[in-house]
Amino acid sequence: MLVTRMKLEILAAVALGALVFAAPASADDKIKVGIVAHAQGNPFIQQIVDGAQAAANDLGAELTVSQKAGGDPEAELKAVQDLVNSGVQGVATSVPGESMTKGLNEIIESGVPIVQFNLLGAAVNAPYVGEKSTQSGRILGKAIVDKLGGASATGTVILGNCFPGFPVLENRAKGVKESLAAAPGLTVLGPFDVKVSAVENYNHWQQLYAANPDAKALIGLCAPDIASLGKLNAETGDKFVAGGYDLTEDNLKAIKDGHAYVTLGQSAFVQGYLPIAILINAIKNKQVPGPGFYNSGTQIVTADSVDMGNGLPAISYAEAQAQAGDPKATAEYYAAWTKTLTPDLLSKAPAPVSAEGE
Amino acid sequence: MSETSPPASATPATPARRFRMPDEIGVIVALVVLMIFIGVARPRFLNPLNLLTLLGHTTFLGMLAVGMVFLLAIREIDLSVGWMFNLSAVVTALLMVAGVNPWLAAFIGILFGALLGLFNGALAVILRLPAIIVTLGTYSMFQGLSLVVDNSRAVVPQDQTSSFFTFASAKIGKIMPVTGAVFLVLAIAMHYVLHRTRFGYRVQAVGSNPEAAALAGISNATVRLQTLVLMGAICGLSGALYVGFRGAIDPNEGSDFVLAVVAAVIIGGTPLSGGSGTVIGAVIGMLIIQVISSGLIFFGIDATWSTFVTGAVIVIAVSLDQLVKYQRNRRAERLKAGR
Repeated sequence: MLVTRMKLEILAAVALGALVFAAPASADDKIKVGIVAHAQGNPFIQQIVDGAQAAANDLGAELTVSQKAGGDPEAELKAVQDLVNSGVQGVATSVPGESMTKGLNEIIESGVPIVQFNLLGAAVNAPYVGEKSTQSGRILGKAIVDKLGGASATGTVILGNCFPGFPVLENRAKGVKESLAAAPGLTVLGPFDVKVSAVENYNHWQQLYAANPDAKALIGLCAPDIASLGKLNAETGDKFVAGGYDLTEDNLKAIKDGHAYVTLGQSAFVQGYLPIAILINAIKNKQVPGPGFYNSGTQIVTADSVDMGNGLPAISYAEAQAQAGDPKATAEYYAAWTKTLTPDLLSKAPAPVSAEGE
Repeated sequence: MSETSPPASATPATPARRFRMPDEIGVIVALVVLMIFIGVARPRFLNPLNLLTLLGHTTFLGMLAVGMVFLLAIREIDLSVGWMFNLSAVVTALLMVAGVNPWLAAFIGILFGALLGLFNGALAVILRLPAIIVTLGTYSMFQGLSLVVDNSRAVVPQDQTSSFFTFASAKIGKIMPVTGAVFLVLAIAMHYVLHRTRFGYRVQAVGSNPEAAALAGISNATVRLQTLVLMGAICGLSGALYVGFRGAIDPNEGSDFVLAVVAAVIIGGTPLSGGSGTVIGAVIGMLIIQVISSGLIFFGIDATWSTFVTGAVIVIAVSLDQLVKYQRNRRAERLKAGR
């Protein structure tokens, strides 16, 4: 009986072994970098990972990807530590919580460069690549106010946050509220927790709208919101203005179909590409970059206009839609921007971290 | 209340003493095989620093797994462990922010965890409901309370000069995390409690046959209550130590702990049917989960495979548990028929 049990448990190890041998062999001469993200199966995060992979391909590095579901800081820190212990020379990571700070700073002190992306740990001694979160909230809020009729707009606006407590999202909420305050007749409810999984997200928005059927606008701060709000608007007769974030295929379709008004992108490709480029440059120069802020840029997309930010050439709505699910086409489009990333530019001191929240 | 003898499954009476392999030998072998396998292909994996990092990774979840063994042994599951951990840590950190001595704050955090466990236990006993039902509700209650109390933001004690932070962050011999040592001491102590104390025997008796235990004078309600309080106190200990170790607690930390904790206990060999449990097995189970997760990173395997393999190992472990039970029952039936 015991022998049978042991046999089966060893079988589990062998199953892992089969996977292990299926893994790609590493090339020792290449620079090895890693990226750790705070979600799995999320189209926006996948666009970041695609950007990181494009950078590794362009710059001749080997990239290891680790994705942890649920924005769990402890799990992400473990993944960063595992990557470092496995011999990776630098790691790009989002920082979904302050509890990662101590552990990341210890790694940086040991001489391993770290670059943060998307979610900022303000006390981590590493550069951060992301949007100007409060400012992007202001842009979104202003777009909604303008759509509702400007300073004379009246009615209820509902705000939803899929990850209450994440500083970047809290900053967005702050920015949105600042802009909505320009119309004193608007009553802002929230932010409410609308969850990140697509199913839960839609359910929460549906309940919020059921409780406030006269709401004039519903604003989300995360990637799944626009798709949920578009679906809800389509089902209820397109009675409210929907605004939110990220240029995923679902979101762009909702806008094209006329069920959502505006979505702001935070240049997912840049948030993946730039951290890896900074890491590789630092590793080559045997440097450990200190804290600073690299603005990934803000994209503004409505059915009538597409602004991709970062001085990129104008594209049509159809091209923006095509890029959302095509990493190769995205990398080709961004080639005009990636060429500007010279070693001199990457070595230059970035803006102070405080610029992120301005 | 009458004295309670250990259940037959806890201390099998054998006419002659003979060497018996420990029940955990299967998972120990699996862990060693896994480590050797990964280490041969990626020697850096066996670096002592990495192995001790792995132990550090196991600490906080591992503590919860130790408590969960007692619950599974009485046929219960507590779904709220992650949020008891979080809320206790938040209370600990907020007390520190308010200027309370960090050692005292940590102690209050442990007591607060026990209080949360008492709340779960009281509901389960008074309403005569399984803990899994009660904690399905308190999972969200504790989460919501935590988000209200910490205002959906990380709680970071600014003054971390206290000896509590030095202690929780220290490394014995510059490599072994003190928190890892505390975890091992807790596991050994709880192993002793489960197998060598009256409380442990009662836990196994209630899990093995609640009706028989009641006839023997054991109050099922009291044992359930005590076990849920123990679970809460362990969550409090883990949360308080976490604040000292990381220097902060985030609003969503602990949200997905429960699956890994239950998985570790089951992988370790504690049956869902109750009546017995293995603390050492749970520790090994948690180590196996961490080794798999770490090993996949060492091999640079796609991130999504990590989730798949962890799930696959759990399925194999549960299947194994069923197979062992099936074979045991068949043997018992054959013996019965042969008499």
